[in-house]
Amino acid sequence: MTIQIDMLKPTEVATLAMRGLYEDFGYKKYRMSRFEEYSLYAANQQFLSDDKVITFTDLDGRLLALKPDVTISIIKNTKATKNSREKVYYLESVFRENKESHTFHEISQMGLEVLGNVDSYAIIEVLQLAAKSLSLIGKNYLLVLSNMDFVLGLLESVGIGEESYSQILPLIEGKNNAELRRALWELNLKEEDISAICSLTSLYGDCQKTLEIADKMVQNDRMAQAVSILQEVYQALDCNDMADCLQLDFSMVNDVDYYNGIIFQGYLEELPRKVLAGGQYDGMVKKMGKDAAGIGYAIYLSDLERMPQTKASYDVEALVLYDTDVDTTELFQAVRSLRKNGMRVLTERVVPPEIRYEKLYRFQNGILQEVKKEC
Amino acid sequence: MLNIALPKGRLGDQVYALLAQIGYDCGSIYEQNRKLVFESKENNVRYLLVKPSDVAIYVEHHAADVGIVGKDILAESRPDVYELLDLGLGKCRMCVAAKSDYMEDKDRTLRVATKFVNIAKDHYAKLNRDIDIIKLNGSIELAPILGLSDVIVDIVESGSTIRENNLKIIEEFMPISARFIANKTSFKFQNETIRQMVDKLSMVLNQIEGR
Repeated sequence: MTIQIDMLKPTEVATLAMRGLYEDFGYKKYRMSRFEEYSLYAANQQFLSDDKVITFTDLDGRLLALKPDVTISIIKNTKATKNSREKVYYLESVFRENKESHTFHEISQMGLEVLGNVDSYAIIEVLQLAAKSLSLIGKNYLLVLSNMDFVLGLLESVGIGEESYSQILPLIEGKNNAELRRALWELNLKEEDISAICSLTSLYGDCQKTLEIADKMVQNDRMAQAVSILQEVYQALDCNDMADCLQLDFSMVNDVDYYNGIIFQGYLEELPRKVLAGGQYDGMVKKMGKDAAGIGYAIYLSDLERMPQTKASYDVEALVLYDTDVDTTELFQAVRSLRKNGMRVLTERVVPPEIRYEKLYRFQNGILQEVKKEC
Repeated sequence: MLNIALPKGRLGDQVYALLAQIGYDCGSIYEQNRKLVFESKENNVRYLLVKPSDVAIYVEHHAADVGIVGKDILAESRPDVYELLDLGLGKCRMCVAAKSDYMEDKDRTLRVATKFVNIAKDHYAKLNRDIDIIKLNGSIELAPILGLSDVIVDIVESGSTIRENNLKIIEEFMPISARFIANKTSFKFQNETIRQMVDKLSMVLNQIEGR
């Protein structure tokens, strides 16, 4: 049997292609149970995007939850340390609240994680796999990079503490210059500091140019290191002809509790929002008591259903109709002969509603005859 | 082709006039009929006329690339979009109002009638005040008069409706104006076009303000 690609959904094609890609780089598929002890999420709630989890009591009395997140479970179970790395990928469902409908939704995710020693090579490999994954889904894609340490370093240098993050970071993320300026003004900052932070909202675009500007804004070691790692990453990806689909955007900030260092998001031209999100999450790994660092990403497969699909013109090439008094052995042989010609064959007594077929056959008196369509 | 979601009504007309002025006009088609879509091939823009509260939804879901929407609606629904420019049009304030002889009893749960449930919740959460929300869709001013609620949270432009209904403003907490928003994907893939529009708009707005 041959598998016709146009029979498959875009999600299925992408999933298969990505599995091949990850296996090529030595990543192992990670399979986990659908349920997880609820206490894991209760203890690590700050790492979840919201606090809504589906819970139930198992027959033995334990409180279980349907996974709202995969990375936490992988970290919990990893044996990776500073000296031994673990590279895994997964294809799992997570259950989260849909903010629009206020109901729980099952979201299909494919993701990849490197745990253990995360050096520049690991970062570059993960970014490269993220970009390649996007290219397997759509032609026009962008991988947008940032380094949280640059933004947080800048806020640190002007004396903005963590207590103001929840107010300031969403404004930077929304590129909302007008309100950001107002909010910083209320924090009694100097005009030059306000301008520096506001300039983050427009600090995006071509990597090389953006990095040059960012380099001039450096105020402390944290920012300098953030720029230098981005430079190293850019050079490596540029040498592999991947610079065209790469952008920097320093206004991109992600959950401070979850991520640190390099963060990235993937966009496809056809889809309204990011389809890939990831970054380094060393803090979370340490908080969960492991002597390791981590980087990874997730691709939201459910959103890929919205990708435009070239629909096959027919559901089947041949529709064969037969009567009640037919010799079933002969009919079966006739159908097989059509199948041998590579046709998809649907055999029915009457024409079913809502079926698109290329040719209509009638099997009568041991003979298969094509019925010409009426004009 | 850039899809622009405009709110139906006065604000939409004002913004269209601005955009037409800086090179994004649709000829005379805009006012002529009750069509919901207007297109100018030469200027490469398509206008969609939608209900004001739906603009952000069109933009967030990529049915429009950019849009113009009031801050009240953005603050209420918190869509995942870029908020690129404060147009300074349609200015008003989010206010708490009550009957003119109202005295607050801090020992009781406050009953708040409003269209803006999330804004009201956030506001009182910051003040650590317990409230009961009564969601209404219009004629909010009636609620305190009939004893349905203690106060209302609503947008106030001139304040005349408030005064005419024998209410008073107790607190103003959020300045509102029209914002220019963009879909995140569109902003990345049509960056030049959107950036140009934002620059031109902010230039023409500065000129008007400077006058």
